[in-house]
Amino acid sequence: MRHTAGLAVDKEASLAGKGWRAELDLAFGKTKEGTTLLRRSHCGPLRVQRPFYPEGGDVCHVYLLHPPGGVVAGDELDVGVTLDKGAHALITTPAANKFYRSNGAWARLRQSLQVARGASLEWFPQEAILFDGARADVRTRVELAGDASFMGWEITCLGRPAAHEKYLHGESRQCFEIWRDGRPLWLERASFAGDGTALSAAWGMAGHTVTGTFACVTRCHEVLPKVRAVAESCRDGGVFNATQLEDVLVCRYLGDHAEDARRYFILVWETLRPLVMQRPACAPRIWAT
Amino acid sequence: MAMSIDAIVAPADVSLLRLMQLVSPALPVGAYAYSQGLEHAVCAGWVRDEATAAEWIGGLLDHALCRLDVPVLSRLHAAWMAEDCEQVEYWAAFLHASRESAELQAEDRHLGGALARLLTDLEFSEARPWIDHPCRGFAVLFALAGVRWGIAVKETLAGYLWTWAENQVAAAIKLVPLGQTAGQRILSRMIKRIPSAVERASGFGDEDIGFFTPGLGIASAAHETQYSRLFRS
Repeated sequence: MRHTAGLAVDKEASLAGKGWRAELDLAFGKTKEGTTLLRRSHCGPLRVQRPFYPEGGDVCHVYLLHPPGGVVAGDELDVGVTLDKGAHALITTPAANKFYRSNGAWARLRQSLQVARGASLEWFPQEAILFDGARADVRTRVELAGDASFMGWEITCLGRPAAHEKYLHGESRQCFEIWRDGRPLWLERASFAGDGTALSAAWGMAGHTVTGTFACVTRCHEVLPKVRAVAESCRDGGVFNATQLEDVLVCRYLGDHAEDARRYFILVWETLRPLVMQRPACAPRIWAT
Repeated sequence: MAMSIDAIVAPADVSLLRLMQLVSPALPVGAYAYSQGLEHAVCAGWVRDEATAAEWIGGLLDHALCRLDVPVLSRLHAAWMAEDCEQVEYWAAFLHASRESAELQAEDRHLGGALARLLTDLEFSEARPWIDHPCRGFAVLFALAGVRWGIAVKETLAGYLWTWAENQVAAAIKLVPLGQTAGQRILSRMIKRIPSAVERASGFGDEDIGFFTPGLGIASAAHETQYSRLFRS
């Protein structure tokens, strides 16, 4: 496995500024049978398992496997997902994405999600863990056409509290953006400097180590009170709340446990999905394990 | 004989007076009604005295305004100068998409719409379409006023930060509460930081624009359901 035996090799590769270059390209289309994974091509250590259909043919569930063990300095990972008209996909990951301490080079992850008119994408990756000293540049860009539908989350953990490792020297960026027809709809562009005041200040991370954002494209203002009620019910373990921007409902978590963020976001998803995507929530099987 | 103000002072001095007009708390846009999350920060006990108020305001100046509003304002200034409507539209949408809460989005639209109306009344025809524009942010119209009144870009950026800080200090005086002198001390500290903030903001590339202040986002969203409120944000 990469994070044990492979580390020495990766370290040398990183020092030389040569990380792994990996690409994964997925295309979903709508056929008579429902949503079909039309194309999956990859190079390097990014993979996808065979698709699942736990709620019938309409929605295709896919598990994205990031490089086993994590991402090291110099790695360049590109994930491209395209949904054709009428397709509906739910994408999740079986494990957290670890970004190791850097020797100077940046580790880059680009996730480009393109959703055609009448298509729907649900994007629920596990958290990104930024090790102390990481230099991670993570960009998730959703591009919608017309009435395309999207909901998804990004969760970031700074350091590894369980291993008593604080994020003191890292320098990372995380962008989560939704564009529609070439115009920005909602933008979040975080930077996490280990030595900066933003991690301790009340307006920033307020000393917490985990932040999460759930974004759902909707103008249906009736959903907000329901989501706020969910946030009310999640009082333990951090701060949860929600706001309805013009085109996007945004829920935020600030605390110290990625599983609390996920628990809250899953409850939000269960509330939102019937209202926004007109189907009951059907959790990917992998979430139960 | 009556002379217009433009005739009795040199053009450079007129632009200084125009800047003072633009950043005055008497500018009729209603900025005094907004605290931008500060009211919740006080309610939550995060801001409770002069020191914590200065930290809150100074932190947002350096990490939020300096990384988003100011670099976008500088691009808007250039776009209005070049009469490049497409760029004005793009950066207006960019700013709108970066606001973290419904209240902050509504505030920006309210101030921007009010300034668009005022500038239209002062016979700036370019401002008219922005009265009801969906992305009528304050910075969009502030940049237009800067260009039309001959205010150089750096002065426009510094003025924007000053008027923001002045408004935040006024809100802190009411909310914490603080004495007038304490307010002036905070404002003096902010003024010292403004030139370097303008300098830093000028160095950001398009891809670097944007900030992340989860505490502010949460404070502002929480303010939407706060029981008792003096301010609209």
